[in-house]
Amino acid sequence: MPRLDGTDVETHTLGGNFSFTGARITDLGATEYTLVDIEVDMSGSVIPFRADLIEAVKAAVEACRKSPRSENLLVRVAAFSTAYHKGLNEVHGFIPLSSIDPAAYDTLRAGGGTPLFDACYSGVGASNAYAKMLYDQEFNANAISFFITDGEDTDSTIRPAQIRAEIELAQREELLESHVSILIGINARSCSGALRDFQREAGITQYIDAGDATKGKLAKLAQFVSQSISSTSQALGTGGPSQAIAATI
Amino acid sequence: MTSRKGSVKIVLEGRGAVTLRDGDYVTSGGEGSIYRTGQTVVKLYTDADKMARDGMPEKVKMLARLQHPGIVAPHGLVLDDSGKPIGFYMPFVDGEPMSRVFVSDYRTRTGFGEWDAVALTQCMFDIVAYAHTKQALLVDANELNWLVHFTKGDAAAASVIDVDSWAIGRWPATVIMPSIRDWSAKTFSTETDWFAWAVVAFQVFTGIHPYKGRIEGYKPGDLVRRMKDNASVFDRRAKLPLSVRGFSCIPGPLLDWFQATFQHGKRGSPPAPTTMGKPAKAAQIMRAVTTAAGGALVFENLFARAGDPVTRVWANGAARLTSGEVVDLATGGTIAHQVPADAEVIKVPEGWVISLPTTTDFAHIPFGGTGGRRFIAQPVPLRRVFRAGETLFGVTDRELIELELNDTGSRPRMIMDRRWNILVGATTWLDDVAVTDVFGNAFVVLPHAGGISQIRVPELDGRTVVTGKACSQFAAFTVLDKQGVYGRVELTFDKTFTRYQAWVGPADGPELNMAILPRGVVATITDDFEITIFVPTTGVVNKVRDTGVSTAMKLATWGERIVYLIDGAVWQMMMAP
Repeated sequence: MPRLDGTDVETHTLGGNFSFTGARITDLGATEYTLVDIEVDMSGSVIPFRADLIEAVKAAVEACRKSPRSENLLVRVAAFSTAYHKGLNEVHGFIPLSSIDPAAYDTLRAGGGTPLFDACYSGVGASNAYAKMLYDQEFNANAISFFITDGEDTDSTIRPAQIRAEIELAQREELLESHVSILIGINARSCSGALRDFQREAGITQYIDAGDATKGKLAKLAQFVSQSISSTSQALGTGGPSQAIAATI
Repeated sequence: MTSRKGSVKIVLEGRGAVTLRDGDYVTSGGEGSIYRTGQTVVKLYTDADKMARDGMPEKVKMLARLQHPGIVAPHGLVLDDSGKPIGFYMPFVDGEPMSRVFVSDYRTRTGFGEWDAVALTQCMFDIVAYAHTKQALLVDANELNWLVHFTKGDAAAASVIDVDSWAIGRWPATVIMPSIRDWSAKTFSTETDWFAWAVVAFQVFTGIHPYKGRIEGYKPGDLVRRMKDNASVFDRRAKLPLSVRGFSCIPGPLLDWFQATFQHGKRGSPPAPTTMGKPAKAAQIMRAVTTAAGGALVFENLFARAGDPVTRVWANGAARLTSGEVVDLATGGTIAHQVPADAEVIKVPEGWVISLPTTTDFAHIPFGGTGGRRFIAQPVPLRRVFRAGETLFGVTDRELIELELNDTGSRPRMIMDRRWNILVGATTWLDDVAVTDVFGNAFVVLPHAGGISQIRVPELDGRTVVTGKACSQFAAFTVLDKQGVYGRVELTFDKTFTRYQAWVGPADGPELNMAILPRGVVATITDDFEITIFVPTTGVVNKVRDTGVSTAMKLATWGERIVYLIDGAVWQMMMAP
């Protein structure tokens, strides 16, 4: 049974002792949703560009409001660092854009180690678990997950194989029309090899090296995230973009 | 074209020279880039030679002849400084993407209602029809190519964009989105355009694509296969999410056409959305839920009116709206206006009778709306009127008097029938039942076919009765004890109404969210996600688990149907066959 936290959000438990929150299914106003999960690194090494990184996340989420499918997005944002309880701090669970207060991201503080594997596992797991609830109530859904980090994992209880198992479980059960997961390295050139290895081992769809943590690169990162979200959502609603018509149909 | 750092000098045919600057840039696509300068949008092709090879200059001239306020057609060519066509320009139109109107959250925030959906789809209908009169096909008019213009209080309107992709003259369409494509067609035609319009319009009304929701045997991503199989939301196996708006919001003739098109594969021109009428057959919405019996609940929207929420439903099918209007759920027609909140409505063979507490009168409204409302004076001065089932009782200082409409001539009267002595001052009047406190001894006053029984019920002694309902042989009450703790008392009477079995238990609050059907089935919601359906006389209990069930649903009955009020709308709930 979910625990009711208020009138519109419920808490759910996951494997590995993790939990997440999401809008009450009965309160949802659309018939299909794209689940967006953004896990952002708040370890100590992020301190020099913490403010810009938070601005990038805010910009990405804000840009989603311009998407034609903005009403069909449920966005979850969590930060990961060993400074947090169980390594994770969910800023907000899967909620509609209209319910998001961007100022909440400003409260994130950087420090501690990098429980990257735990963050990926809980992010994928939260998407899968919420997708199952949507599926059970006949909603259509797809998902996109972003894991933004500036370094390798340092402190996780989860192993990459467990993340792969979670991703493969969702594919087998076909609860989601699609689930794209993207590992993004920022200021992570020195460990890009290790992050690529982790991406492959964990079955994450894609690794992107976003370059140095400059304002310009972070702005491009925000743009990439919001455009990816928008196109993922459009694919759900319309069966994909307009396609070329063959000479005969 | 003269290019400088950060700017492009171009000529808008028929308008003159314009310089596009960095700040005018909007986006790029496969064919070119889009700029906005003032109220003009400019599309510059990446490959101007290809533009020429494709004959786009000629096509733009042909499209520029389309003169409709809802069609954002090219107005003319864009030339470089040598006079070579490099693109075209069109007016800038500001609007919301159509897909937002599909979502109830957006509609709630903006006040977009059912009539706005009719107006919007009619506007889209007019645009498609106009294009066809000009021998143009829209082909790829998916929801992202439609814009909505809506301000509360004004009629909603639509615009269609991406007009340069239309099929016109010798230029065929080149792209189409899978979700609006008529997969049964061999060529594009006005019929495939109407199919595409229908897919978008249906979502404006209901919020769901006509081939989504769940049907056993299809995976969530099997949209195209469902479209090819005509496996639509009208399929009896289809299960839809709770957020789908009831199909009754679609004008009847159009609903019939949608069903024929999506489920039976028929093609043709639709009736205009503003064409009103009842559908030939009411469409049912089924939503699967987890139940103890392994079945499914079926929910069907019966009535809703934007901006005028329903406040009460009587078991005879009358429903009162916030404005005071009373409507007949069976027909959707108005029974009366300006009916006070504490009025009672009964249905008699001659029509409807409404007690009007504020004027101490009754109103008689004959069926069919002929004759209008006729007022009837009280037969004797009454302290109040008490309703039980379809019978009105007058309450005097010491008696309960059965009242009956006598409509033999032009002047109807309420005549007095049977009467019973009662301690009026010690009686609490509830819904179909009353409770009298005789010096600390509680009696339930229960009207039934044989008259009125006053049954001694010690379980109610010393407790304040807060709410109560009764029907047939069952009555339920919420009570408050002297410690301020709420409780529930349920009574199941025998056929003689002299003996009963009582159940006494806790209650979370004063509310009695319960529907009691005449055939003896009772439904109650006390917790989110669960509805309890039981038959008091047999003891059969079925707890139905369903995350769609919520305490926000206010249960009532309409004949033998369980209905509920939520968000001002009336819905019906039943177990799936």
